[in-house]
Amino acid sequence: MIETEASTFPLVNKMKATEGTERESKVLEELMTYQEKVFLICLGFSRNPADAEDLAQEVYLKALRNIDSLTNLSLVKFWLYRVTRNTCLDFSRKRKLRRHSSLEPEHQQLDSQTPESQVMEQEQLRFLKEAIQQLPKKQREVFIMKEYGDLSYQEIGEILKINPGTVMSRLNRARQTIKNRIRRENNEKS
Amino acid sequence: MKKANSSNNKQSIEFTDLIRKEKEEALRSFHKDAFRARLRQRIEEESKTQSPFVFRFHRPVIAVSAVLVLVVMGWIAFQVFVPTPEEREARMIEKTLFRAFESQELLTARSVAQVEPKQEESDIHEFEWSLKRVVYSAQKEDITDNDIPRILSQVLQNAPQVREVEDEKPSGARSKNEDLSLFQESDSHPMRYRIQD
Repeated sequence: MIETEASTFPLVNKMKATEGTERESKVLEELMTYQEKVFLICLGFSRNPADAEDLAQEVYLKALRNIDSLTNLSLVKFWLYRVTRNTCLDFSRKRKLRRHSSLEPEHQQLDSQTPESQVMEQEQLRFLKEAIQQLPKKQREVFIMKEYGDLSYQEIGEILKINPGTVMSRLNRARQTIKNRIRRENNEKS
Repeated sequence: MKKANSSNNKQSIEFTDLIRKEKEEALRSFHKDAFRARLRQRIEEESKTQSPFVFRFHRPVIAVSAVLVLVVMGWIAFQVFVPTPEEREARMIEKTLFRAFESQELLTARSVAQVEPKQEESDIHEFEWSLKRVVYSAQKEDITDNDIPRILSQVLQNAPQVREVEDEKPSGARSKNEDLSLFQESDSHPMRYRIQD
């Protein structure tokens, strides 16, 4: 649980000072209950768990900075997921720019001591990650929220402000695109 | 068809399985407490480098008010330094009048400068004509050689008079008859009538 003493959390103090103490502590606690989901969504947008954690930290910092924009406290979950989605999209955009402007290696080098099956799996995962990153933005965000965040169609629709039907169709298209890529890759290999 | 579907499903299972494994592995390395501790540290760091309270939480308000103040100042400056249509008109009239007066002065100066030499010219002209008349009369009339010097001396005597009269009338618009009357007054010779004709 996050401590809320005056000396350690100025942002939280601000929240406490402006509105009711108990209620705001509850909001903060509620925000923290979604940290795993936030982390997993960030994992979908990033290359590895370390990057995902950094991204999740950014999400929480951003959320605490912009806590004033949270008007309806019952929608705190959707608000936090929306912040997560926006932060991750910003991150993806910046990474894309960085990749274009420099020759930085996109993926970690595999350890030569790793067993062959694990190497194969890591290679597959790398390919899957690439396929996800190449998806159109609308399909990508729906796919990650569903596959990584385990969110329902209803929840995704609420976050993106679209119908659950649209969520389903986007998700279906995204899955189809990824499957096609995997199939193409397998054919090339064989 | 069935074969294609089964391969599709297999691929779908493959990638969902891959994602599941990735998530499990990531969650193993994700420690909630460590995450919170790190977040707390970052908040503390941020609070140390943050600007004062007013600037921190009311940035948009400050920005909007600054823009408003600038707009108002700009509007005031516009009102002060840019003349109104009436002022512009008044300035234009002033300028036009100034030019008109200036050109009037210039014209007066020019006209004075032009009129003065004309007077002198007309004096010379009259004197010349008097001499010509004398010469003409001497050729056409029975004037003795003795009379010619006398008539000429009278013409020469009248010349300053002509100038004086011209000086009194600055316009210089004097009729020919007037000149002749001067001539007649001082001369009793019969030729005067013929010249008048």
